Amino acid sequence: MKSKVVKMKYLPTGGQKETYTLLTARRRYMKKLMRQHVAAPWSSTTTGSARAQHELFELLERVQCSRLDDQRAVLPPYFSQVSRNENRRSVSVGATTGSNVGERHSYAEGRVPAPHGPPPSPGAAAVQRRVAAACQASRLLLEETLAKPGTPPTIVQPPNGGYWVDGVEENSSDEESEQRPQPGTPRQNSRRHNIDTDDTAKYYRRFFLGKEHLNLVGCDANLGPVVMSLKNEHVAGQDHTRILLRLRTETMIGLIPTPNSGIMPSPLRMAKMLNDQVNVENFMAVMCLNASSLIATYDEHVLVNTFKFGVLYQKYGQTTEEELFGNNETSPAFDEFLEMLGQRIKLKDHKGYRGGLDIMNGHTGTEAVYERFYEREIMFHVAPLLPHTAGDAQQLQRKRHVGNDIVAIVFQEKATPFTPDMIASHFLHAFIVVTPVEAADGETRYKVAVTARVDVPFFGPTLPQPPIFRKGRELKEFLLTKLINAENACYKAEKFAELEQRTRTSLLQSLAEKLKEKTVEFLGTGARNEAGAVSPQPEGTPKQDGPGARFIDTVKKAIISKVRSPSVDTNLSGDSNKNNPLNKKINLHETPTPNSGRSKSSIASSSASAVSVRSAGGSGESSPDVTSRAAPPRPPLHDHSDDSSLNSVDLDPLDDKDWLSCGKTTGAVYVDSDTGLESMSSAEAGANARDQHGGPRDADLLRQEVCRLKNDKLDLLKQNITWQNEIKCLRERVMTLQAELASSAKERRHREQTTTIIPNPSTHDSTA
Amino acid sequence: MPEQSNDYRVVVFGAGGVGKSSLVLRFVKGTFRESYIPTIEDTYRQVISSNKTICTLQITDTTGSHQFPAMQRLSISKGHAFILVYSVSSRQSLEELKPIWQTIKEIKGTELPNIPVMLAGNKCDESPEIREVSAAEGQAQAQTWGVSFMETSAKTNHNVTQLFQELLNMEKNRNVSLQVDGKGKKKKEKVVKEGGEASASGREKCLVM
Repeated sequence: MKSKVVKMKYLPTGGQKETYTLLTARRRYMKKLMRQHVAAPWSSTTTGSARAQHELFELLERVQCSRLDDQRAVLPPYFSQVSRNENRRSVSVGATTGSNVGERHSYAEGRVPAPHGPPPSPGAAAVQRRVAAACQASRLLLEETLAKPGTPPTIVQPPNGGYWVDGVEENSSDEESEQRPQPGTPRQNSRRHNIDTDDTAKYYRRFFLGKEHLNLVGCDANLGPVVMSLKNEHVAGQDHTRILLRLRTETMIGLIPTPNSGIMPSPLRMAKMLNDQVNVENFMAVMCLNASSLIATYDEHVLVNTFKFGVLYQKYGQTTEEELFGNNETSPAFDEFLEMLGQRIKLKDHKGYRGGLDIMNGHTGTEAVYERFYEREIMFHVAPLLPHTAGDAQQLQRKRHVGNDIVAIVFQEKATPFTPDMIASHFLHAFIVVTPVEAADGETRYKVAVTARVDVPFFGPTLPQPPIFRKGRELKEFLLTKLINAENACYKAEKFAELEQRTRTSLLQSLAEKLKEKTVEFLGTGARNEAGAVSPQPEGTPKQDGPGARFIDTVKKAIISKVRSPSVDTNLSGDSNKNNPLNKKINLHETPTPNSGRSKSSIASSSASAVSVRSAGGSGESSPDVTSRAAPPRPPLHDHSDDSSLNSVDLDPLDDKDWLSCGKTTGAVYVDSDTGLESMSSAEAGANARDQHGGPRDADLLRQEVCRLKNDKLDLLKQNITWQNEIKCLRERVMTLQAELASSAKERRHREQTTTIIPNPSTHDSTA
Repeated sequence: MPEQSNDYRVVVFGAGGVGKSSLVLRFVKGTFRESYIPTIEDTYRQVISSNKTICTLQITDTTGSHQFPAMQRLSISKGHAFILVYSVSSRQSLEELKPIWQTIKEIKGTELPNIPVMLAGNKCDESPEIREVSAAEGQAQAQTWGVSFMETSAKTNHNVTQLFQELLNMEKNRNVSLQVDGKGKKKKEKVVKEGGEASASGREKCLVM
């Protein structure tokens, strides 16, 4: 295999060599820049010259990229749509963006290339250019704003838009409002702010868990898996049904009055009342012991109790993210603010939520700010407290925490403009900007403003007018609530919502499958037949022979546990006859036989199939037979047949094939399986009888052991045969398919030939 | 984009800022971006041909933050092969891989020996003063876990293609392999290649062509 040459079907980016050389040059340049930065503080002159050189490199890159573009194939319009979408969305950016954001957001847009096409990069260079231009534009705008006289606005919208802003006056009369500091909000008495909570997620636990209710699972052809919970309730003097309908898109709740006639609408009808698109052929009742905890886990997977927020310090005039992350010295005002926000804790051996910070070796600093708030834990990633890395312009050790947060606080030293796309990150969606303001009475006051991406819905609590707060508990409550609500709101933004949707779909799918599987396992065929879920043909035919050895144990246990059977009987409705023997067998099949390590489900499936086969053969007759077999008083009748029946099983391996074809040759199978069971039970019973008559215990045990081993051997032989038969069948199938393929190819060839021999129909063969 | 059944899904995990996106981008596009932009989750597809069939290589570049555990578990359960990335200049990033490895073990259970997993020590181009994890340590860690190991650098394009190729070679069932175009990718001497040879699990290894 190592020497085989495999044709490569994808095209590497053509201009790799050029990029490489450009990169080395770039690297050298960057290193030089960094050395410069370490030597001298970031001054505007350095920025100026650096920027000029930086622009030169961008130009070069642009030229390179257009050559790359020449080599690329023309892409269908679908791809150019992607880059158009990208522009509408405000893209935050660093100095240079290699791949554009549009590509990265590939999951929804599905950048599947044509089967043999080049790797997808729809106009990468073009978007890169635009994004770089946007970054420049933002920074320019900030600097212009700084250059203007007067107090700058707290938040400046990026020129391309993409963010909404709250708490910043549009007109320049904000000067007045600032000099009129009011002690907090109009409704200033400590009013508890509401943290937005997802009630639907808690619905199940609140109304259903621990109380009598029904769970149903089904599948809709269009909407996918459906899991529904129903419960009867008496509300306002009338019976109602409380419904919880889970689809992959959302979960719906409802409370529907039960009609007075007493006839309950079908589950489908009830589901349709919540969502009329639902169309499930048959709901299966979920019947397994831990169903409710599985369902609760699914419902609650959206609930989050731990949060991490970034905290950045912005000095006057700082306009780039490098500056923001590079701040090491802060001000007493900042410390004051942090003190109010939460507890300053030592990271080492911190016991609560750590938000990705290192609590063992101090790799992420020694201290952090942490707070518990209404049963939620919040960890703050305070940039100045995270380790500073000399020579790293990006301050990776800080950005990798703050940049991965969804919401961040920006604390300004004093009024200076901040623009939300200053920091390049796909995560950061919302910012709360806090600026200390001078107050006439000398008390510390803060001005608060909020900005978030356009697809983030509004989140409370509402900013007061004017948005000035006094330092204290009230501001803390406000801020923490606002932060938590911000994060929950951001989950509804496009990027996160999509991922959440995908996760949810997958979780619901696996929940539905698991519930079905467990129900079938628990109940056996009854459930399967009723639900029409699976054909009686077991998927794993080899497993069918599983019960050979297990039957001894199970029937033995059934004999022992015959007390339990009546209760099992009453639980089941309808096909109780069919289900009884099955349930008894399944009741106590925990202890595995020494040689067979097969799973319980195999028993279920195999015994299910056995039962179905039997029932197909004639339920009336078989069931009472089987039922009564469980009862003990049988042994004396079958003593004599002990050895012979064992031998009969031994000598007749063809039985298995019949079992395989499952139910078709019902008569024969019925007889065989019946004998099989009988022989097993009689073997056991025989052994039991002998046991009861005393005699050396060991010998009996050994004899039992021998029987068991014999049966195991039989099973394995049967299995072997079964598998070999399967292989044979599959090989036959392969051959037939190959033959078909060959014949159709031949046909095609003939047809081609005949078409070329154009006009004279009389001359060509009739083989076509 | 619905996933197809002949997708071969490779998932890249690691702490924030270690270079997962850079590695994937370098492999898929051949480019490197100096600036760090935290990823939420990106998926790249590339059609590769194995000996007899064509299949789609789907590379999922995950987030380094711990924001979405459910999504992480989902990626693990659907993944066919995994690359665990840490940065040689950050010991903590290697520590942070441990819980991820635990989750992979937990979800994959008994299938684990059949799943190709590579431990990648990225940023091996960094100067020795900054380096915090030696190659030997990385190798030892890989051995403890029973996975393969390689040191890489997305910046200098060292061992990037080899990383993915090795991973595909480890996949026994599918026989997927990647014939590398000779143009620009082989110029590096495989300095740290010996790091990747020793595999504790004794899987068969094909040589990089």
